[in-house]
Amino acid sequence: MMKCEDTRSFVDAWEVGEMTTTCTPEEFRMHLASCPDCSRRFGALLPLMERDLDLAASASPSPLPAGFADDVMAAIGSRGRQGFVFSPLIAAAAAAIFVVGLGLGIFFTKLNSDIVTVSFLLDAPQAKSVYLAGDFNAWSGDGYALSRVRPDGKWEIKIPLKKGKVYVYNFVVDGTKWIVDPSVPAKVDDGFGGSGSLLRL
Amino acid sequence: MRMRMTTFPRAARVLAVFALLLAFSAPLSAQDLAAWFANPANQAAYGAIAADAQSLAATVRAASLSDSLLAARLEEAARKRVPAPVLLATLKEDSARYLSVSEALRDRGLLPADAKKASAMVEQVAILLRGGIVESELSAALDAAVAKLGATANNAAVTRAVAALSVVANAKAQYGFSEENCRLLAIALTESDLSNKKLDSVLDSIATFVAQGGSVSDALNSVIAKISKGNSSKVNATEKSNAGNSGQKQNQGNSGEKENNGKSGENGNSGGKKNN
Amino acid sequence: MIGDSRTDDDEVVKKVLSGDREAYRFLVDKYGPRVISFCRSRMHSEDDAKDAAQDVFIRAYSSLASFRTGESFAAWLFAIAANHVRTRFRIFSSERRKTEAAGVEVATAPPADPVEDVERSFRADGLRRAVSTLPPDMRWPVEFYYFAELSVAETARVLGLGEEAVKTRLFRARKSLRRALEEKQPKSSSRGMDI
Repeated sequence: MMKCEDTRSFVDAWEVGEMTTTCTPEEFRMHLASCPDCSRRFGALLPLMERDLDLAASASPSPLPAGFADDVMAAIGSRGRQGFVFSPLIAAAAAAIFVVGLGLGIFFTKLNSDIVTVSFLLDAPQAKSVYLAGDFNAWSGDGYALSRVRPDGKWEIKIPLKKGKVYVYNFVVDGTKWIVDPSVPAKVDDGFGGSGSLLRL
Repeated sequence: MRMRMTTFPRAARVLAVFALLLAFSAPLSAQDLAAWFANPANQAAYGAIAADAQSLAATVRAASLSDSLLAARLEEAARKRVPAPVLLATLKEDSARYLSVSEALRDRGLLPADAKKASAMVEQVAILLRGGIVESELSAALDAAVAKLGATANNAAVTRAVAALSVVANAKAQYGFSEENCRLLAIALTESDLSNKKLDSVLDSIATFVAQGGSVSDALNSVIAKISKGNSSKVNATEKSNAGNSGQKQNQGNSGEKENNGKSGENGNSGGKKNN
Repeated sequence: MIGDSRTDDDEVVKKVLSGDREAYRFLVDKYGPRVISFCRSRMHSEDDAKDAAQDVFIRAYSSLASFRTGESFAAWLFAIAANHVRTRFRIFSSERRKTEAAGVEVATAPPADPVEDVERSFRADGLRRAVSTLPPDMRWPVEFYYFAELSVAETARVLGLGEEAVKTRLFRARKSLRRALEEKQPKSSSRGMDI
């Protein structure tokens, strides 16, 4: 019959990451079941010990609540994955590595003290259309099409934006592919499975 | 005519209607959620989550913030054709984030009383949090900004902190600095004499240093030292570079520069490009 | 045995990404209990934990393309879970920090279960409260290793730490938790272990 002091040394051993041989976990559990004092002291630690011992026994987490998986499957099934593609492939094709550092895809000219004109560039020779969508235009690329008029063939758009703020934006390539700006390291998790690029003025 | 309509795929027709409605819909700014959901296209796609979205909006309003915070996210989701359940899950996160940001600002006396202004400020900070900045960095930057500029200059202080943190976000993404070092960088940037605009130059300095053969670790040290007020206790940040570092073990026994901090893998593991 | 767990997960992910949406259920069933257990640490009720866990799976599904096969799916999934709970229940204000530290109980209806389960759930609450008072650098490892049942290696991966560092933090956490729980003897006998 296990004594309280054995229990204590069992817990001591567990605490430092060893498992003692003076008693088995089963004996420990049985002692706790019959000793209110030890149970009060050490009972709460039992799940931790069981995890350390990799015991799949009675202390396993409660089984999945009924309908849990069904609800998840229903949720993801409701719209499907189509039209919701964040394809890394396009980003690779579009990648112009602007070598020097932050914001090289972006150039500023001052309009007045509050507003700057920001130039967004994208190297995407295979693209048929590129739009700029961000929190400054409510994510609607309408009216924010980039054009390919530069001698280096890059897509460009210039827009006025207020200084002293951060913005998030994407390029939308060929109508449906939302990509980050390859020249900007910082990505802003859009919460929907993709990211936007961070711009600070 | 009718023949052509029936052969036209239903999905395409829905999209065409959607597009037309979007083209003619009023700008989102002042619309409340009810109006957004009343729009037939939005109702079709997101009607199922309207009630839940409204109750989230209620909690946001209860914190003296504007609905527009969530409305903006709804619009973004619609544009990106995000499925309704995903949007709802994200809105819950967003709401919680906006609330905790507003608390952090309010605790420091920085939050404006006006809901619109407060929301604009909260939104700015929230962007940084989605950009990889974590609580400790945010707290450090806000505290440093208040110390530097005072809480009454609340806009200037928050703008300063946001500017510094945007540099940290880029540095983190590019070099994978640890949380502790990012925190130190955030403080150094916020406190420095560099203007908000000039803060970006720090990234160029790091890049130049590294291009000339220095380790990322030394680059960070050197930059922090340069911009700090000479407080030597700040300069014990050590990054273990890939080539191995003679000496200092990092505070917590980190074996590498990259800390995910429980961040999801969505952004490609924080996109940290390590310079060898 | 159907083989290495990791290759099973990889196979399923591949299937889902090539259009077999229903295959995702395998991952929900497999990891569901652990995700709920992990979320429970930061949510105020079983319902909230379940809700958060479902959201985690929804988020994971929409990000599935970013999972790199060959890596640990569990580590990837729990990184998403961590991000989700951390955002939803970020504690910024000192007010809330004080409340959690004082172990103020959130009113939940007591489970209508046999004595043993009541007893177990009270103990579980005690453990959860104790964990919530740990500083972040100990709390996360506990949640990943003990509640999410990630391995030390996976925990190290998610946190971006070395395995030794993780073991050290777990050791310190065990010490801390034991002390916190041993000191806290339930005061009222209505908690019912006095016979």
